[in-house]
Amino acid sequence: MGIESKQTSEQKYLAEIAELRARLFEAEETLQAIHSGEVDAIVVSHKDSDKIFTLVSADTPYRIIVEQMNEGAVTLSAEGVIVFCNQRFQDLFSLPSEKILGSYFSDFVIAQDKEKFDKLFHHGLSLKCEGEIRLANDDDQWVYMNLLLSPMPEDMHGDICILFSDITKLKIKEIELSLSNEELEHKVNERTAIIKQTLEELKTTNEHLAVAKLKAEESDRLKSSFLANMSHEIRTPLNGILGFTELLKTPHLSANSKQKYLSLIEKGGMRLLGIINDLIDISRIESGLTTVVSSQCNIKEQVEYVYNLLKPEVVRKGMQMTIQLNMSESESLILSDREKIYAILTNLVKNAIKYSNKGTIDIGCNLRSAKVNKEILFSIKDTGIGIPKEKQEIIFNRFEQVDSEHTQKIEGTGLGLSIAKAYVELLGGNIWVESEPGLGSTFYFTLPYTVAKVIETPIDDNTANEIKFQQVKKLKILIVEDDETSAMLLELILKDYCSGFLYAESGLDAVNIYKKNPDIDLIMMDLNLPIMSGFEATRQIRAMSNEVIIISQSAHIFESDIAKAMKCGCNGFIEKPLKRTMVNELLLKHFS
Amino acid sequence: MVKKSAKKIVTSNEQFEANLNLSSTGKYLLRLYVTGSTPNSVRAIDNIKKICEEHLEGHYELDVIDLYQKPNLAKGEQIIAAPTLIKRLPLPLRRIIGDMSNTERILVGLDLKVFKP
Repeated sequence: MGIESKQTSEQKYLAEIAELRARLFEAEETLQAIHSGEVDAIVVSHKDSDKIFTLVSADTPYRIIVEQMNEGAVTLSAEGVIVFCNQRFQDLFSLPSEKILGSYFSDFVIAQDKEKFDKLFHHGLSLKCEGEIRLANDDDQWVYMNLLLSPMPEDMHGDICILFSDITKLKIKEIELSLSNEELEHKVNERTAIIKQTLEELKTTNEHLAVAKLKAEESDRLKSSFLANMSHEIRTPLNGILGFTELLKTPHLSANSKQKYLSLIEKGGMRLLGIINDLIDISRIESGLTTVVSSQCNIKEQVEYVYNLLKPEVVRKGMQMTIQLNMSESESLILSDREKIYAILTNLVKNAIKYSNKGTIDIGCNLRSAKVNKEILFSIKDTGIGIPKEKQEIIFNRFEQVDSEHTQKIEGTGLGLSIAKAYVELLGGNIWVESEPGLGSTFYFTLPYTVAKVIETPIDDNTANEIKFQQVKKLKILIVEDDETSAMLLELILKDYCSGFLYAESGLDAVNIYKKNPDIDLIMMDLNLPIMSGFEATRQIRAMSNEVIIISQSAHIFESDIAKAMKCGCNGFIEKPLKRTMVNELLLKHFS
Repeated sequence: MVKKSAKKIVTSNEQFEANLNLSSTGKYLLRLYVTGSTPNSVRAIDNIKKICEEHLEGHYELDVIDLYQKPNLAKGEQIIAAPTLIKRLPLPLRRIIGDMSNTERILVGLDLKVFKP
């Protein structure tokens, strides 16, 4: 060996020594570190893996945390046996660790959730997972838990670790919230439904209002046209009356002319009266004041009366009129409202005359069996202008007339048919028309056939009576009337029967005069008086005497007034405008 | 054997440069093996970071391995206890055990300082 190799060997040895020194140093250091607690864990070698063994001192923080934390922690074996549990878990079940360790975790799971836990457990053996499970403690109280499962590394004390946090309170709040939500939704739905309903109602109301508005506008239009029509209808006869009255003042008028003018004036007056009566009738019907006054009616007689009443006019127009009646005298007696039947018949026949210029008017009256009960079918047939199909219903409405460019305006209020219809329906019947324009019309109406059970004496007979002078003695008469013209009229009518007249212009006057003249035989008492009404005056006078005849008179014709007057003590009632015949009848009745 | 006298204390920087020339990557590759958040582990991490920042700034790579998470890595470098710091580069391989609180010892171990007996 040379010096160089000797030197190399030396260096080699020196390097080796340095290396060994370093290694020794490291080994000493390691032992030292372990000894002085500078290490936390030792690595222990196993066949194919290393295990980390933590020294207890290093372990402490972990321990404290696990024992202190709010979550329960357990480790389970692969079979599900509890091999470790922390303090919290023990507290939850109020069981000491020896009671818990060694038992199956599933023993603490409620029956309903066992299957769910099983699935979770098997999942958790290989993969971290989470789930909600309900556990039952010793008192069988349920606790809602959120479980966090994670598999443990191999060869550990336990195969799976479970952490769980108590979510019972959360769950309760959840349920409360959902209930609250449900309630809210329910309320919202209720409110929505109410709002919807209100909207619907509003919509309906609006629709109704729109319809009502149209009706009101239509009604307004009709009223305006009615007023115009009425104005004309009233002025026309008035024109005649006033005109001819003025002409009468002409000096040196021939008697012939006078008679002619007078009859025209009377005719005008009658026409005016008719119009006004129509108006009053329709207004009473409209306000529901019309009532059925039942009494025994002789249909045969009534039809014949109307025939006789209107025959002259028929003849004057160059036409014919016939009656066709199939009822016997006894069959003709029914219970109904006489005045209304007259009104209906008169209206229909007058119309037939009005709207015809030629041919025949046939009045028919037949008893027949309808579906349910017997009824009387009336028919008034004419050969007049007829009614087109589209108008056959509306002619029964107020103010409507068959009015076309081809026919001249027919005089009349247009109320007749609507009055007739209202009366027919009030009596329980039906009214309709069959017509062909140019050929004529037939108006039909029915009345229920109710046999009159009680035979009543008719109150007023419309037949005219001739007064026999000799039967009535001269009377002392008191006229109570605040209208000068009416008083004068009354005096003129009564002057043939009177021995002397006394006058009063108020109820008070009347009472005073009677007091001074208790031998008054007859008082014609107007009911509408100033200071004291006729009703009151009658009462007072009646209180003084039962013999004096008091006849009340009024322009009012409401049945209630008549009843009231009779109750106050009147013997009779007549309506204005007065007719001589009416007064005559009355006198005959009370003084013969 | 001739006992060598104490070597000259060379400044860290010069030594550092010298060492760097030896390593192929031009960086220190360090690995610190710990066990989770155990007290020494926590201290070790803290201390080594400080040292690296102060003495090796920009020229180091530090890996922290948690043996609780990856126990299998212990075998490769023959780790016996934790915390352990391994200097992988530059060679030679060095290991230092403990909480890294002895800065001087660390520096010597990293060949940044010469050992003074």
